[in-house]
Amino acid sequence: MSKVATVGVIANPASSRDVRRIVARGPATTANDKINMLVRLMEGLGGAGVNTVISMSDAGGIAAGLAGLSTRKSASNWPVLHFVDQEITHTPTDTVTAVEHMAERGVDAIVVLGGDGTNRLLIGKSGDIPVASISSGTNNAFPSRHEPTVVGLAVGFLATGRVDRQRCSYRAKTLQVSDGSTSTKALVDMAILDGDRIATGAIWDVTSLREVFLCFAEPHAIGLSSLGGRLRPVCRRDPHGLRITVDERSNHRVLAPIAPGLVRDIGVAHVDVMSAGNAVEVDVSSGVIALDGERAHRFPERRSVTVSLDLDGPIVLDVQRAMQLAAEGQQVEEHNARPHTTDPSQTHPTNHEGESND
Amino acid sequence: MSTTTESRRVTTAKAMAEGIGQEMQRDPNVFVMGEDVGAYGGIFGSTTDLFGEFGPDRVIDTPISETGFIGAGIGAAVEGLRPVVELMFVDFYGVCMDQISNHMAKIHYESGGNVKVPMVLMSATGGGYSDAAQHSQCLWGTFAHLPGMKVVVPSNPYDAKGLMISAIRDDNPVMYLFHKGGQGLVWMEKNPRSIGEVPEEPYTVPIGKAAVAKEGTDVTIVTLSLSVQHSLDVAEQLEGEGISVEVVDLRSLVPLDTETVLESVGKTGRVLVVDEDYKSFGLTGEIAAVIAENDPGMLKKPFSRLAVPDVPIPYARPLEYGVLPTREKITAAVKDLMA
Amino acid sequence: MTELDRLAMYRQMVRIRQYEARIMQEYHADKSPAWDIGAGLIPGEMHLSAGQEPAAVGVCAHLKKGDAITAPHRPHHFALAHGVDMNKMTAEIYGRETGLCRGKGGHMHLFDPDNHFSCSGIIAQGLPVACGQALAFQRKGTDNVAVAVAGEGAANQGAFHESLNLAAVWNLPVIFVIEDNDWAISVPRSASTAGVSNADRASGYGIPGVRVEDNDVEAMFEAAGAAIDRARAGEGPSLIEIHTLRLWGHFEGDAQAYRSELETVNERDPIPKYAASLQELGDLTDDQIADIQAEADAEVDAAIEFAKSSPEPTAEDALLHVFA
Repeated sequence: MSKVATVGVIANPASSRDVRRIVARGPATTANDKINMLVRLMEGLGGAGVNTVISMSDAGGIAAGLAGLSTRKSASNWPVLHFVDQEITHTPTDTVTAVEHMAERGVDAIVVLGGDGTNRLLIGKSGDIPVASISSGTNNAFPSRHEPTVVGLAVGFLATGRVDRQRCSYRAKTLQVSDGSTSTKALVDMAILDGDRIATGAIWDVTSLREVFLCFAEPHAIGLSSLGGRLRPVCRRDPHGLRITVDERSNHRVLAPIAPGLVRDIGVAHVDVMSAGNAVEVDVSSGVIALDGERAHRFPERRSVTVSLDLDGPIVLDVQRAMQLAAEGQQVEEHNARPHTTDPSQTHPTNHEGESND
Repeated sequence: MSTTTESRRVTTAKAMAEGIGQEMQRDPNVFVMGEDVGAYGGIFGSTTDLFGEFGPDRVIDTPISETGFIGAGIGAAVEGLRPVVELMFVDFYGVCMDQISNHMAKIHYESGGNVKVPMVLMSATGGGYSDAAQHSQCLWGTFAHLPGMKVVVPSNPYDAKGLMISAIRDDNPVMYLFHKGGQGLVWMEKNPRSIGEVPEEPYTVPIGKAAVAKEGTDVTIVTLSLSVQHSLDVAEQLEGEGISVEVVDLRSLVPLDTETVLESVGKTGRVLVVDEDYKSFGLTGEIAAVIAENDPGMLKKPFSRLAVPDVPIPYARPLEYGVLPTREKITAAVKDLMA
Repeated sequence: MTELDRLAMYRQMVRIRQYEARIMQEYHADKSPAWDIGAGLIPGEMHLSAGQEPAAVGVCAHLKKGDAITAPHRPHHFALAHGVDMNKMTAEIYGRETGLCRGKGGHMHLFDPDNHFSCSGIIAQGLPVACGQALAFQRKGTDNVAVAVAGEGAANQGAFHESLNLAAVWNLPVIFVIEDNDWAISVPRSASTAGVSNADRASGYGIPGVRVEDNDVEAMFEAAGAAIDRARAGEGPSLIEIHTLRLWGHFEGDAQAYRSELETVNERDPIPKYAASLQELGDLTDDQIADIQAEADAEVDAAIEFAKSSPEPTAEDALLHVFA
């Protein structure tokens, strides 16, 4: 029998609404899209036997929309739905508050609807709780592209103990930048740019780009990590990352999709592999640090900062792997006369999300 | 009415469209927009052939979005263009009256005279073909009641063209309300007066000047639009019966040519106002007030009026003709005044 | 100013705030009896824009001669940021002969054709007009743009949806700015708006819609710059919704008893926040703060003095200007 399972759900109301919609026709995942994704997720979670869902609250209409739908007959298969009682600040703090609450409650898993920026907020907050991310941001290098219904099932199988979490999850890497007094982390990429503008945060002008640090670099990725993906791919589970020094004068040119809708020709001076646990010193004259594609911190004065790659990110659920494990656990008598193998390993695709392809 | 072999006779619809087209040739700032004004040529023919001549850049089909495109007309006019915008049926005013009344008509005044809105809003009015309550109204009294827009109401092809050219050249917003039954359309019963002599060259008919459509000495009929055609029919018929009827075609409600009205009533001493709009709080009462304010003693007989008796326009033929000002009712009213 | 000029934006925000603060003071100064909305030197309803300065300043920083704005019933911040003459505007608010509209318009109906500025007291109804101005710019072949401003409450009007559709169908150089101040008079956004974000609604029309959180003037500047560049280049309309703040009541005299978050309103004031961030950057000194405030005080005082010393129109003037 399954154990009592509780899942936390984060849906960032602010994701996918930034200026990249104007400059690059960035994706517009509307509040209603997000509500519908949550509905499908709830169907999956309920189907897999999850008892309780704790959802983040927001003033963007998502929690309210979900609450409204949860009282309808069509929601009879859903887990019991609770909302975090939290003060709404309309800032990223709302996500952090909700995750902290879920960790305190000891949920079995957390599902995140958002992009790279939303997922970054879980660093150091979700502890050992497995996290499944559903892509609904502007730039989505980190989240998976799986259908929310399937994510719901996979998370449900994990939360109810039907699949072994050790066999379908891994710990994400992070990048940390520290100037001695303060430090901050990224989940996919960290960049140093000229100038002092934060403004909307979004990066679409690469002329100010100087350094890019990457946790992983998939050749099919979108965003700044695509720069590494185009040069020297790194998988999510590889124990290393990349440092790329950009120089517009360099003859080594790389064509990379640095944001949805934006393909840019970028001059690269160096590409260095960064090993996990090793820190590098970077000399930063005045500039801005961008985390996961969004300008976040100014360095008004010249200073030396330390950048390190660490194996301390959220535990990530590999949805595809979880569903495969669940399939292996199915005890259905087969009447197919066709000869077949009983060895499930033969049906494994060679590339799980996050598995090394080096 | 005599015609010469050289004269050219066209329908009211064609005359309107010709006036617009000639202004478009003269002034590149003039353009047309509205529902089905393009390839269709306007549901009631008001933009016939313009699309072929000027193309989709200057004869613009709009979405069915009257607030949107009438507001856009206002914005374009404020920026110095001269849009001719069509509201397909005047009955559709309900979905865009804010733009008409609160914006088109008020901006010049609100701005202390600093912002002009040189725009024509043309619209089809009137009943008589069983289109019922939401597609048969006249409503000119409603627009005339609200300050800030001129209201033009042509009754024949000649005036239709001349008033259209004047409306386009006017620096004020002009409601140009034409009667569907007076357009000379092939698919609607028409009075022969819907086709008439129209010069080919551009000309203007002044806005605010009524016409004495027929001179007479016994009774003045003050009227407008299609009712002018009916009144002329009646006047010609009564001529044979020894009653001399003068027909005053107002041609515009705003400005209202009170001088011509008073002059005619002063001559005949008997007045009948014929209006296809609703009776109460409208044109007929306004004319009565104009006479009363001037000299109530100028009337030999009590003031008489014929208008839609404050009911919505009904559908069935006997019902509709029961409330419209028909020739028969006009004849009876004139005879009453002469009794 | 299309390059980011932080000091200029700060100065403009302070100027607008000082204006609204003084109008509020003057509005109440001689109301007798105090409850009589029609009494005093400034009569009638008064909708002040304090707290919403980032919306106007971030947008108008990118506008040039010939660009148009249609603002709603709460128009002062956009008027001032767009270059409407403060003396004439103030005289209009005081109902004077020297006012923008010779005293015929008042504070909700300000018209300045030199700056292609207008406002309307009927919410969302300025949007179709802005579309028409944009249509005129497009037809004339200029690269001017029209900015249409409405509140989040107004975005439930048909005029909003008709305008978005028209702008998209005709690819008009118009930028829709939605000032989401959380309150449609006393009704919160959650009770008024399905789907909640108007940035999302724009995408239903194929219009890129951006939401700027935090009432952040630099984020607004960046988003507006992108939208205006896009419109000037012939790429069509955009919508920017800024989550802004109605620092004061809907109108002067509004007790705001319905407002649950009233206690924290002053903490969210965007002007001290921006000043602090500029000081942190080293772009603004205490002396500059004092100078900018003094400059604003002097300009606003002079405008109020101009208005008060201007003649009132006469009753006969009411009959003028119905027609051109």
